[in-house]
Amino acid sequence: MSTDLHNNSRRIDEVMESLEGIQRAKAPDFMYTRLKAKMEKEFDQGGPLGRWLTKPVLALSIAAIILIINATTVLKMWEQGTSASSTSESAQVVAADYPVSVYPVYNENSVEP
Amino acid sequence: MNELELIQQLRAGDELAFKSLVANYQDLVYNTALGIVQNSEDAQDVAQEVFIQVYRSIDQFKGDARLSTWIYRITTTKALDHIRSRRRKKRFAFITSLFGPNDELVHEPVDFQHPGVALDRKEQAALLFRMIDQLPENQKVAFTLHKTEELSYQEIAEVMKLSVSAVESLLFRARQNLRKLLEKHYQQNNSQDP
Repeated sequence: MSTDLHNNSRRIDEVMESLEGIQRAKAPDFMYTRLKAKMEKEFDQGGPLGRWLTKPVLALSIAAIILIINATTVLKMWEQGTSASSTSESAQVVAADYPVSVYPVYNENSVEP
Repeated sequence: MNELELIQQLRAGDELAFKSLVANYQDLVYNTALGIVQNSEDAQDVAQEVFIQVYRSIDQFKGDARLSTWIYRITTTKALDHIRSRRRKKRFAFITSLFGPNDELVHEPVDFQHPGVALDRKEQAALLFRMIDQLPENQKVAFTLHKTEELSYQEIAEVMKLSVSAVESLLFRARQNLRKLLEKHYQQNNSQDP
């Protein structure tokens, strides 16, 4: 047990000291060439905003929203059409119940004596 | 060309000055990013993002700190952003993997090997980097800058916009946490051994 603890402590010390004298990693070759290519691509696309606007996810989301709005509008128009026809039907019933007709006051061709 | 002239030429949009800046600072940026993201391809991406940011915001550099301090600050910020984005993608991949067999889980990276570590310490260093990856962000940045870039407490304080005593405290806690993590690691290994 105490040997384990001693061993662990020694190993932990070794691990903690393992970065002593570490050398700086060198950047890969042609870093500037790659960077320049990336910058030209980014600037052509109008920067981060341009890239964001041309994302397929965004385009598909916008298309889906437009479709939903269109479907909702068509559905509402159809519902309104149905209720308009029922309104005209009820108007005819009322007209039949109460004799509403054009008064013949302005009938100039009256043949009455 | 001194630092002030370089900054003036960068502000004027001089391409040669930018090329010179990249040549002077690419190892610093790459090595710092590599220490934090612990993956060479990710470190290259971060390094590119850093130089693009420098190019875009050189006008905002006030000159109250050294150019290297400002570049270190951008590098650590971009590297941490990169790690957060990677973790988000990993979580998303995990969720999508629940819904179908074709969405494979993002692979767990193998142990990171820093190219600047001495050959006889590679194994220990890989373990230490694995533990560093579990530290809170500010401890991770302070420890990495101190170990891989050999920055002094004063320089780390300038990069992280902290007091020197705050950096001392951060590094003390980072070492304590690393020891605890390593103890746990070895205890688990000992209990698994027959």
